[in-house]
Amino acid sequence: MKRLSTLLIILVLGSFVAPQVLDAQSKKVPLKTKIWGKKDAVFSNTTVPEKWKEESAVILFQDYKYTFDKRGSYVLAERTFHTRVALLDNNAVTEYSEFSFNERYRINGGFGRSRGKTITGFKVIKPNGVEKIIDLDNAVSVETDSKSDNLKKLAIPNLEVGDIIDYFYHEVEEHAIQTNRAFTPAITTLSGDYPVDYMRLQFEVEKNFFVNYRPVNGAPQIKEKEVDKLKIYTVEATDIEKAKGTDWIYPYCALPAIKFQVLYTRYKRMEGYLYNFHGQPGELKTEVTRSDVEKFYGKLSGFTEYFNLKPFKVHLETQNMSLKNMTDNEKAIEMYYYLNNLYVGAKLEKYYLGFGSDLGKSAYEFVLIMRAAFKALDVKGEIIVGMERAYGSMEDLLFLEELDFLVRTQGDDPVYFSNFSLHPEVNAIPETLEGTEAYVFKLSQGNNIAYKETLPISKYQDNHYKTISKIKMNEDEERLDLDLQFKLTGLNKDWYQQRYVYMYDYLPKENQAYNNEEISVPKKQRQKLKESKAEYLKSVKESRQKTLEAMVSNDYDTEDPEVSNFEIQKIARFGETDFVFGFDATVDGLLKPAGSNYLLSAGLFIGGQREIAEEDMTRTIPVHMSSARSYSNEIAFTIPEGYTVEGIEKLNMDVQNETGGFVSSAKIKGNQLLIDTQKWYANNTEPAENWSKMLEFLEAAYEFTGVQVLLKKG
Amino acid sequence: MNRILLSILFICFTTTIFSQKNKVDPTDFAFAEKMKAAHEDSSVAALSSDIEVSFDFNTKSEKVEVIVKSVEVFVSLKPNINFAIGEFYDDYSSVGNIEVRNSKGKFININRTDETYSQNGIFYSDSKICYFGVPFPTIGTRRKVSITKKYDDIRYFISEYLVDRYPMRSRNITINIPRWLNLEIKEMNFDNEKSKAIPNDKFDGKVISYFTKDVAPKVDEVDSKGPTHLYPHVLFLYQGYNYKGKTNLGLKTTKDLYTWYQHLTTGMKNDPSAVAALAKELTAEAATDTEKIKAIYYWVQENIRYIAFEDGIAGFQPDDCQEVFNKRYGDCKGMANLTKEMLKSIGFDARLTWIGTRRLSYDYSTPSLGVDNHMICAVKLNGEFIFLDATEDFGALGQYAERIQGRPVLIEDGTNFITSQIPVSPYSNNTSYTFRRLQLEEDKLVGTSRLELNGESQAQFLYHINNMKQDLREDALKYYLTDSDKSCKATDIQTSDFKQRDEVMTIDYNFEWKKGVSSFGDEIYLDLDLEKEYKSGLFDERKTDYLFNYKLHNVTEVEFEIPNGYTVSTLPENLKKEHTDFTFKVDYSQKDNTILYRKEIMIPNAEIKKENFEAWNKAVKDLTKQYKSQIALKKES
Repeated sequence: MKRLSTLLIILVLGSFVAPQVLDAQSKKVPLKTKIWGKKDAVFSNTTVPEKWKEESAVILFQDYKYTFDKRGSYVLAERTFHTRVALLDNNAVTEYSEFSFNERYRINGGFGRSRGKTITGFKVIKPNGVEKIIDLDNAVSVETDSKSDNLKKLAIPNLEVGDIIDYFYHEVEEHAIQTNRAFTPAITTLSGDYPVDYMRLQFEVEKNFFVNYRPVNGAPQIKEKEVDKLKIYTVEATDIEKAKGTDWIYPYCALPAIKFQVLYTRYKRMEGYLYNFHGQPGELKTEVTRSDVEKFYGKLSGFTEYFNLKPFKVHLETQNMSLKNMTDNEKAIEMYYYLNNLYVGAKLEKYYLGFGSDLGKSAYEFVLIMRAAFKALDVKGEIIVGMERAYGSMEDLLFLEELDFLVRTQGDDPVYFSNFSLHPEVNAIPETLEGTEAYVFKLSQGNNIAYKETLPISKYQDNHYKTISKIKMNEDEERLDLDLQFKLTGLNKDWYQQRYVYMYDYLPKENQAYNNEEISVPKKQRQKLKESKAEYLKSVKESRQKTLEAMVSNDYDTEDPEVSNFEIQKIARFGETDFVFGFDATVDGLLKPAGSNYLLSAGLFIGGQREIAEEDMTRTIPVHMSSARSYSNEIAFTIPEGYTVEGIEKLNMDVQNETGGFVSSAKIKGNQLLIDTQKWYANNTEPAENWSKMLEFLEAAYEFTGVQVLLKKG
Repeated sequence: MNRILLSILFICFTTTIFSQKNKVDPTDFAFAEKMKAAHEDSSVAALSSDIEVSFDFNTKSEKVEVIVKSVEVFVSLKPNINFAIGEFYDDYSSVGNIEVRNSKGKFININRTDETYSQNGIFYSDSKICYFGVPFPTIGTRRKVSITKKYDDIRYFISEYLVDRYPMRSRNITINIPRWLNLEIKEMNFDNEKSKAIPNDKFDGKVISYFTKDVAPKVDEVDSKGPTHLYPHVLFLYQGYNYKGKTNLGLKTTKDLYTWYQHLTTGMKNDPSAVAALAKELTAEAATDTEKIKAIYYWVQENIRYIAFEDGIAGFQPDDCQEVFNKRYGDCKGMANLTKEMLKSIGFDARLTWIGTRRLSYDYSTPSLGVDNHMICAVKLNGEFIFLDATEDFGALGQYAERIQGRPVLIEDGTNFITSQIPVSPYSNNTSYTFRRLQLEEDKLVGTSRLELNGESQAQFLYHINNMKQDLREDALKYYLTDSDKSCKATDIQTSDFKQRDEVMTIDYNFEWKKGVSSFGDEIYLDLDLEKEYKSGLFDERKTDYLFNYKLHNVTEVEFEIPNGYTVSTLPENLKKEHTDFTFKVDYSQKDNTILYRKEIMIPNAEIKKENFEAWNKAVKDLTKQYKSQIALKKES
C-alpha cells in the first residue's frame, strides 16, 4: 500500500495550526483544477518511452512543490506532490491500488500542539484516453492510537494493467515561528524504484526565507526567478533510470542526488541563532565554505562543560600514575578512558538491567567535554570536523547533520579520540571518516580559525581478521569437528565485539580499574536487581549461542551446527588492540561419502565468500566499502588414519592486483593437510573501472570455496 | 473471549516508572518459579482465570446481549516487564471497563489504547483492538485484571477457549443461561477439561461451569492448523429466546443458518445487466459449456483484485455484482457473487456457496456463524456442481486449493439449501516433474532439462511469476531453475504460456552445472541432484502438526551418459522411506552406458502430523545423508 507522506522533505513543525486558516486554503480555486489543469505539455504526457516498455511501471512525471508563506507570526507551509504513473504489469497495479493518508494529523515536536491537513486527488487514465476521477467518499477511516489523526484508506477501483494513475496530495501546515525555524534538511537520490521521465522540484518562498540547495553527481542545478515578492526556485530532471540494487554503494556519492533545506527567522538580528548553515535572506546558498564552518564552530563557544580534575587525579593515583610524569598524549589518553568509564562503563549495569540510565554523550557534548578536560589538564588539542564518507566530499557539505567530530592532541604525534563508546579505543579513526577531507580547529575556546586536512587512512594490513582452524573427522565419520580461534585487529573488530561481547565479559575488570561502586538501588528494588541480572545473564548466553550458531551455519553452509566452549581471550578496549576469541563446532555437509572414499569440501574451510551475481559482473559506479581490510586462514585438517589426500593442487591460487588479492596454498605435513589463505581489499574505495580487477580475486575466493579434495582409503 | 498477547506490542522493556511497593508473596514467588521452569518462554502465568458469561435481553433492539466478564490473577515469571493485554471488538461488540489492581487491591493506572486492528491481507475491517500494558516489577508480582466485554447480538458470540497465550493454573468459564434463552453448548476438543452444573437458587435458569487446570499456553507456529482444531473450547449455539412473550428462533438448525445468510443476500441489489454484455462477449467464441465457464471464471480471477473488506454486516453480505465489476476489486463474497451473476447472465445455474476453509474444524451440522469463513460460487454442469473460487488467481477449472478440498459447503437453493463437499484431489495432480539428460563436458555436467508443473504446484508458480515485476522475471526464473547456485546455468529457456492454466506448464532449457563434478586423476565423482529438496526440514521444537500449502509430489529423473573409457565404480545405495504422511525414494541404476537417477518425494496429505515428526526427522536425516553420497566413475585401465 502506498502511504502518502512527504517523500522528499520531512518538515519538523511546531505550532498550533489555526483551523480557519487551513479551511480558508481549501476555499480558493479548487485544488484539483489547479493541479490537474497545469498547462505544460509534460503534465499531459501519457506516452511511455519505448525503452521502458518492459518495466513494471514508469513514472511519467513527478512534481514536488513547496511553498513557505509568512503570515503574521505564522509560516504557512504547503507541500504538493503530483505524479503520473503508467502501470505496465500486475505488480505495479497491486502497488498502486491501495493508498492511505492522514486527512488531518497532529505534528509532533516544536511548541504547542500542531496539526496538518492533507488534500488528495486520484484519477485513472485508461489506454483509450478516458479519464475517471476517483470518488474520495469511498475512502474508509481507520482508527489509530493517535486520536488527533484521521487516517484514511482508499482502494482504487477499476485499475488494470495498461492504465495510468495520476494522483496528488497536498499538505497544508501552519506553525508559529517564535524566532527561528530550520526545517529538517533533505538529501535524496533522483532515482527510485521506477524510471522517471520528468521530475520537477519547486520552492516558492518569500524573499526573507533562506534556501540551501546543492546538486551532486551530475544532478541538475537549480534555477531561480522572482515574481513580485516571491522567489521561485526550480529543479528539473528528465530521463532518470530506476535505481539498481547494488552492493558496496554509497548512493549520495555515486548517483545524482540533491540536498536542500529551508530556514526562516522572524528577526534579522536573530539570524545568528539559526541552527544550520545559511546565506542571506532571498539569496540561494549552494555551498558551505570554511568561514561558514568556522562561524558555526564559533557558536559552540557559548556552551561550556565542566571537568572535575580532582577525582581524575585520585584515579591516577590508584593506578600509580601522576600527571607530573606524563606526556600530554598520555594524559589525554588516560583522561579519555576515564571519561569513557564515567559516561559509559560506570552506567552500563543500570542501563542494561532496567534502572534507567543514559549511556554515552552526543557528538557535540563529547567535543565540549573533551575541550573542558583538555583545558583542565592544560593539554593542547584540536577538534576535527569531518563529513561522513557516505555523504560525499566536504565540497558538497550543506548541512550540519552531515558532519561528525573527532578530537586529537596537538603535536607531531597526535592521538585521535572519537565519541565515547562501549569499547573505547584511541587512535581509531572511524571508518566513516577515514581518508576524508576535514576542517581542523584549535580546541581552545574562542579560537575558530580552521584549516583543512585529509584524515589518515588505515591500510588493509591494519584491519585484519585471522582464523586458525584445527579440523578433524568426527567419530560418526559424517561430520567434522572444528576448533576455531579468531584474532581481529583494527576496524574489523567492532562489529564482532558488539555481537559476541557482553557487559559482564569486561565490566568486573573495568569496575576494578576505575573503582566503580557496585550498582546500588533502594532496598525495595534489590529483588528486582537480582532478578534482572539473572535474566540478563540468561538472555545474553542464549543470544550469543544463537549468534554463533548462525555464524557457523552461514560460514560453512551447514544446517544445525553444534557450537560449544566459547571463550574470549582478549577484548579490544582500554588500550588492548585485538579481539581474540574461540569456540568449538561440529558441522555436517562438508564430508561426502563416495564408496570407501570421501569428498572433503576443503574450500569451505575458509567460510563463505562473496558471490557476485551474473548481473553485477559489470559496474559503472564506484565501489564504496567500509575500509581496506584483510583476512587470513591457517587451517590444519587431520587426515584420518588409513586415508590419503588427493587433489590439493586445486587449493593453490594466486590472484593479486592493486585492488586486492586472494592467495592460497596447501600442503601435506605428516597426517595434516595444511591450508593457508590470504585475502585482502587494498582500499576502501575503488573506481568503477577497477571493478574487473576486484572481480579477479573475488571470483577466485568464491571458486576456492567450491574446491573439494579426495580422502582416499588405503 | 479473544484475548491475545500482542506480539507486536509485547515489549519486555526496562522501565523505572514504577517501583516495587508491595512485597512479593512467597507463595506467588514459588508459583512463578514453578511455572517458569515449565514454560520458559512465558512472561506471566495466570494463577486463576475466571470468565463469567451472562445474557441480557435488550427490549429496544429485541436482541440478546452477551456480557463476558473476565477476572484473571496474573503472576509474573520474569522481572521488569510490561505485559501487553489486548481485547478485540467490532461494530457488534464493545470493551467496557478495565481494572487492574495490585496484590493489596489498589488500582493501578493503565494507558488504554483503542485502534483498528490491521491484518495482513485485509484491506479494511471493523475489528478493533483495545490494548494496555500491565507493569510487573519483579518475579512473582501479582496483578488482578478485570475486563468486561459486551456483544450486542448473541449471534456474533461464537466461542470461549479454555487455553490462552499464557500458562494458567486454572480457568473457569461460568455460563449463566436464563430460562428465557435457548442456548446449546458444544464442547470441542475436550480432553482434561470438565463441566459441571452449579446450583444457584437465586438465578432463574441454569448455571454451567467448564473448568480446567494446569493449562499450557497456546503455541504460535506458522503453517499450523487453526485454533478450532487445536484447543479445547466451548461453542455457543444460539437457538432462540422466549422473553416475556417475545420470541425468536435463533439458529437451531442448518436451515436457520441458511435462512439468515439468505436474508442477507436478499438485501443485495444485483444488477445483472451491468455484467451480461461482457459475459456474452467473453463466451462468444466458446464452443462448449465448459469453455464458457472457464472464460468467465478465468476473467474474474485475472481481472478482479482481491481486496478484503470485513465491515459489520458487510462481513457477511456480498457486494453487488455491478459494484465489484465496476471497481474491479472485491472480497471473496463479491468475487463469488460476480462470478455467479456473470454465469447466470449467459444461462448457467450458478449459486453462492458458503464454506469454511481447512483452518476451521466445524461443519454444517453446527449452526453457527463461526462455521464458515469463505464464499465461492458453484455452477451446475451436466447435473453436477463445479466449484469456482475466483480468489485463487491461477487455479484451473475443477482444480481446488488444498485449503478448501474436502470441506463441506452450503449451496444456495432458493428457500432451501444443499450441502455438499469439495472434491479431494490426489497428490499426483500436483506433480512437479524434472527430467535432465546430462553428459560430462570439461568437468561440468551439461545437457538439457525440462520442468513440468501440474495442479497446485503450477498454480503457485504462475501466481508468483505473474505477480512479479516484469523486468525481474527473467532473472528470477534463472535463479529458480538454477536453485540460486552460481555454478549452475540455465540458458535458451523456452516456456509454455505463463497465463494458461489448463495444460501442463513446461520449461525447457539447456543445463550446465559445475559443482556436480569433481575429478581426481582417473576418477570422477558425480552429484546428479541439484535441488536436494528437504535436506534441512527437521522439526526440532515444533508442537503442532505442520501443514503444507498443497499435497506435494516432486519427481526428478536424470539420465547421465557415462563418458567413453569410464566405468561406474560406485553407485550409492537406494533409499526408500515410506510413511503415511510422506515418502522419499531415491534410486540409482545403470543401463548400458547410462546412469539413471530417480527421486520421488510425496507428501500425500499435505501435512506432517505431530506424532510423525520423529519418523519424518529420521527420514530427512537419511535423505540428507543420501544427498551427500557420490557416484564414482573410474577410467578403464
